[in-house]
Amino acid sequence: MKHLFSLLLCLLPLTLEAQDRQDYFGGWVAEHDEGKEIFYVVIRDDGIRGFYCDACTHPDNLAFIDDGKLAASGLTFRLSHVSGQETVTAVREGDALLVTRGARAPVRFVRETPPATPAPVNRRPNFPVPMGKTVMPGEAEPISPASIAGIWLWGTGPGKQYFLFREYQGSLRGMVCGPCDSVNAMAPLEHFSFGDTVMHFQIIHEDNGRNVQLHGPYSRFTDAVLSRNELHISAHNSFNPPEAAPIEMTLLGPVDRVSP
Amino acid sequence: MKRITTWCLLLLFPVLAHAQDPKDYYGGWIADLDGVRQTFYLVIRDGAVTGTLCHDCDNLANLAFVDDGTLSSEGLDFRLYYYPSDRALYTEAITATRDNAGLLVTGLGGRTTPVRFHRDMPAPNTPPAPAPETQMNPRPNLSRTDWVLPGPAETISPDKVAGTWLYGSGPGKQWFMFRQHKDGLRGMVCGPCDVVSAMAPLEKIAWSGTTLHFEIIHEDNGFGYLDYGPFSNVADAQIAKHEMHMAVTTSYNPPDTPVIEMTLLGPVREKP
Repeated sequence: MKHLFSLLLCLLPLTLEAQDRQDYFGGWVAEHDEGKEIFYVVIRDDGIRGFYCDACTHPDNLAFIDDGKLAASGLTFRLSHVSGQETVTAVREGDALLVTRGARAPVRFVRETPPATPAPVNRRPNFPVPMGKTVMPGEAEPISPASIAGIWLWGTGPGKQYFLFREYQGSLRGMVCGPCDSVNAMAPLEHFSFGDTVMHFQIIHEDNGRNVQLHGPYSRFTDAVLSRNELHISAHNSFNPPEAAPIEMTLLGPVDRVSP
Repeated sequence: MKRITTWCLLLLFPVLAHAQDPKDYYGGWIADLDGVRQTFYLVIRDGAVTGTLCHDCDNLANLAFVDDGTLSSEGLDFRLYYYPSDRALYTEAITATRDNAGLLVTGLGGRTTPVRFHRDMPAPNTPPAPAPETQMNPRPNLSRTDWVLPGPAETISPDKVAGTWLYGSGPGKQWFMFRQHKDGLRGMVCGPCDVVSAMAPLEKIAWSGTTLHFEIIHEDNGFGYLDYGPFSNVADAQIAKHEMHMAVTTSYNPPDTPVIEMTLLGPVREKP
């Protein structure tokens, strides 16, 4: 009995940390007259990441979370915008997240309830594609942050997915959304690396995506190949065994100029 | 009697002298110049000569427009308008005449000697070979009637339309290229873009409010050509959030025929 008590004492910090993570990670929304502000916070063993955006289909409106710390007093991190950086603190207050950006007044962010009816999506192209059936339009091209940065699109209609990639510290970071006014349909794109003609990245799901309820936070490990304005991606869910068939999608882009 | 016959022949002479057949000139022509495939698509309609010239044809910077043309007893005269990415617009005066081996084009690229272009078409009455299944990924969203735009239709302007829009994926992906020309827009669609039988100029482009109107011109190719001859796919399009949704009717079909619907994505960044 005494040993059991000691074991519980040892496990207590881990349990607290797990609770704290859940209290902070995932999507947070603040609604204003002029639109929404969105945070998507990723808290994993390798660090605290994620993004902030408003008018989220424009890559220049995307800011990235770095150098985060989760402590008893709350969450602190650095937010890197196109125009500069700021320090952010976030503390839980009831069901909300009270976010203070630099010297600004705190703003209340809340969880967003998924819509009862998903946004209409026209029939999605080339998904699912039987493995090995998709044909690239030409040879795989050398791939680099510069050749990818921008907006890539998949599907059509209100549920069309926007893959936003922005050059960041010599590599890329980004976000996928569709529709892009709901944090429930967003996911950060992180952990980019490049081979000659292959780009690797992860699509991060902390509290959304249809598999979270079954598997908890997960990632989609994605390999992408570029050819003639097509980015063909092949993604494996982290909760699946390695031999599971990948999800394949072909994005078109990068978009030349951003639509309003 | 002799005098009457002479007068009749004299009267008929101008008619005979102008009897160049547009069919001998319009449609697709190819030539390899300095190792680069050059492709003309000539359009001769309502007395006007228009069309396109391109090389590496999926690149908008390589697309030139045929304009200001006439077909006379001497052959074709027209002007080529080039819009390269690395210099300003320039034009060339071109003449083209037929011989048994092809189309002799004079004035191209500053050349003093004519360049012979030839047809790259399936033989008459031979349906175009379908692309092998492996060359064409499933094509999205053809012939839908319950289409949903991603947002309110946006006001059309040349700036909004100009550029390259894509439909489908894979080697058969279609490239719809639009460029501002004179006080309007002109363009071309191709897919794949290395064969003239899969190309068509985009002409008669007009816009009003949120609707873009244009014609996809088929002079000697496209489904329906073998049965109906030259035709147009008449398109009305709307743009919303990087989608150009087109409703297309074919000119040889009755007006109550269901439209073909397609959604293009773009405009995409041009190649450097």
